[in-house]
Amino acid sequence: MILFLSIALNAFSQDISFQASVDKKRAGLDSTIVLDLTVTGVQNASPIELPEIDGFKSRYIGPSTSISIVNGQYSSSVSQKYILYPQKTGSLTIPAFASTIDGKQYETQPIDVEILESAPAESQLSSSDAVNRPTNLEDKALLRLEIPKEKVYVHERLPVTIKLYASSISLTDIQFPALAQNDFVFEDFGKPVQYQDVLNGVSYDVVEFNTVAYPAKDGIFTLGPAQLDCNVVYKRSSSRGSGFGGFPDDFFSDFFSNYEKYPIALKSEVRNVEVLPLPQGAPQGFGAAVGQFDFQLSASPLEVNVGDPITVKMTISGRGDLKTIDMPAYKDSENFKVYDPQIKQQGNVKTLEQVLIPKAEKVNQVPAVAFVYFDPQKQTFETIRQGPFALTVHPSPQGAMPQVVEGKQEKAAVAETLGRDVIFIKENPGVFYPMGVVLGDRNVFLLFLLLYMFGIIAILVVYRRKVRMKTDVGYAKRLRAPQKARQGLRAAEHFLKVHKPKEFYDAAYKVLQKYFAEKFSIPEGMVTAHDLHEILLKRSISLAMIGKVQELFSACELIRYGAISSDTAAMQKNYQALKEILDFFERL
Amino acid sequence: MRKLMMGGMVILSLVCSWAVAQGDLQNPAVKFYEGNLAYKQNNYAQAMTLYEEVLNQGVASGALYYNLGNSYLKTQKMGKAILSYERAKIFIPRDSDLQSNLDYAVSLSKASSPISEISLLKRISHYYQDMFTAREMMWLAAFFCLLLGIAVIGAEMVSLSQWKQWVVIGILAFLALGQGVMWVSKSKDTLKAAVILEDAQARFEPSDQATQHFYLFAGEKIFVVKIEGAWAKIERLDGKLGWVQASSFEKILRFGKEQELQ
Repeated sequence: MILFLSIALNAFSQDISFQASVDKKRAGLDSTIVLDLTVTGVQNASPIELPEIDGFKSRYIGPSTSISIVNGQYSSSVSQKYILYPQKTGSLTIPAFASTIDGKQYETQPIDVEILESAPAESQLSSSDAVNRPTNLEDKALLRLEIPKEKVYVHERLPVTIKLYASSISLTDIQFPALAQNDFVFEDFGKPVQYQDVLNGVSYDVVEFNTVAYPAKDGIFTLGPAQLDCNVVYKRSSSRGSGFGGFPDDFFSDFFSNYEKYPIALKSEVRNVEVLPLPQGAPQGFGAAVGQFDFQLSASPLEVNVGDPITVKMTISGRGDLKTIDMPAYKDSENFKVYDPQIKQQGNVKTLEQVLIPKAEKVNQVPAVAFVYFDPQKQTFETIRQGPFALTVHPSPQGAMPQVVEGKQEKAAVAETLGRDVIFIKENPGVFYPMGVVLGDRNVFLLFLLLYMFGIIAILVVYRRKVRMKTDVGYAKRLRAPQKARQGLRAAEHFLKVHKPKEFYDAAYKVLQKYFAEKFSIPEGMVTAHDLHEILLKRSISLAMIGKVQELFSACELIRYGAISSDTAAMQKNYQALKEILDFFERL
Repeated sequence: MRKLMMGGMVILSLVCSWAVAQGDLQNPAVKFYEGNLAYKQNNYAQAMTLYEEVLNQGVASGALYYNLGNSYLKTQKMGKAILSYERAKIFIPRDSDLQSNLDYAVSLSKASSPISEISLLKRISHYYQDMFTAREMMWLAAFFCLLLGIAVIGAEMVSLSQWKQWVVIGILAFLALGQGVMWVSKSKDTLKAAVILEDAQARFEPSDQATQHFYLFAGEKIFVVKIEGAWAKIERLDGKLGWVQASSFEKILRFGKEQELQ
């Protein structure tokens, strides 16, 4: 099937690729599979509508863009994510998707998935402890050993790549891989590189380790397996109870005990390598150099007196095992006295420095030097010849002492004798301070500190109160109860003054009802003379006060329902009783 | 009338000139520059007098004490020179010229620094305190307190994991408290003094007949514990206590808590 993605290409000269991947290849009917359609080498791409896929229903989730710069290399990709809901069991195939990007057609690989009745168990509860240790790791973490070719010459450079693939698993404490192999000499691993890759239709996080192997002898050898130690982080099953109020007993113990590390050792497959011997007939001067090299030679000075030193410098650079290379060097001859060379290696460059001293004025050149190496690509021995250099040697002046040659040693530093005296006066006076102010006023500072602390505490108190008012309804009602009661009390007082008994008792009744409802966080309907008796008894309120409350309630009910009338004195008495009740409970 | 006006103008001009002259005389910068001029003419005694006159006006600056120290050093008065440099450090503690001249003066004096006998923690504390003025230390303490307060409020309002909150608050509390302690410790500078005599004898008791305990040399730094009449109980940097004549040293701060010690 062909899909057309609307893709905005950018000016980056990246390779474009189009890949499909899933988060798992085995799933249950009750679970889902996440399908990624990833276009690498672009900065954005519009989502597409997936066609019908046999055995699945699909839903688009959204895009994700990834941009990375590794070793100065820019790369970007856009993933469109879809959820696939399995509709039947069995081996199903997610078909290939095709797309035309920048006029060129790209196609993904089909992905086979297995749908079971229920999701496969990813963990297994051990009987000895209550933790969920991962037991099914082969699909989630794997190690691969890769070499570019399987036939190499002795001492030839063989790049070795070890890739750690991890999907839907958290790995930590990842060690450098180990490659126990006596028939190869390995360089140290470089800095690991991290990226994402799709393997067999599954998207993995990859950590790539690179090194170089040099075979020490010819024969057929097995390279690997590489072994890598790391820890899997998995969540402990929460079998323990929690502390008060649903919070953990202890924050740190909870944090560290909920997650546990489980050490695993991943092993890669092995690779067979056939190490070929070097061809016969190596030219004279061949010193076990195998690879591609450059050779430079220089000499200076080229006009000297007899007995003066000439320094020659040889540089070999290139790709190959520089450690095992025998550098070409001069030897004592009738023309030159030769000192032992000094050899250094830095990265892919090996240098040799040697001092030659012409013995007679008849010497007219620094001899040529040849560097021989075997090029495995061309499968031939190559020779690079440098020199000779024309040399002018003058006779040694009468009485001149021969120069002492100290190799590379620097001239001993002569101790510099420096005079010491007073540094001159300052031209500008700077800021004049009145005497006594330089220490700063401690009292002002302490006052500032005190006020600041009070300010902090006040802000915290106000903030917490505000939060509690929002989150704790009971607390908020309790706080508002007296305020509302005072409003009701004012209304009752008004009706008392204008002598409206019914309205007065109605207001008093509502004040009591609302006040107790909010004070004790109970529904207003429950605040009756009878129910209140029980509630107040439970709160150890004195019988006298309970009696007063009930009496007022009864009085209010009698007047409100028109059973009897009330005079001003009774209203005044009940108003006082209402005030006393509210005052009493406010002081509680 | 015209003569009257002319006379008035003359009087006014004279009054203004006198006022300007008085203003110049009172301006400490003028004296400072005059002192510099005398110093450049190698008239160090005159330079010292002019610099001291500025100080007598009740103002001070790092450059003033520095130049005064140079004048004393040129006249081989090591104790006074070191004292002046120490006073200059109160204002310009990180000035490299000052540190260089102070080191030079100390190298010329007989005073040996017992600082190596002090514990490492105390030495670090000394070095740290020498880096800042008291005011700077006070403001640093205030700054850390400010940050601590913001962190405490922030911890309440921002949903950050609990252990991160405590780490941040803990670090800031440590910095604020540490800085506060350093500042209080720095304020002990009011007790610091420097010996101004070529050498002085510290005795076990405040009496000329008392047994001699140790020697003090010009420029040596001491702490004044208390003053009794003509004698002062002092503490050397290595913690040794002794009684010396009060005239043999001068406190580094010429103001502050002298009254408390009397």
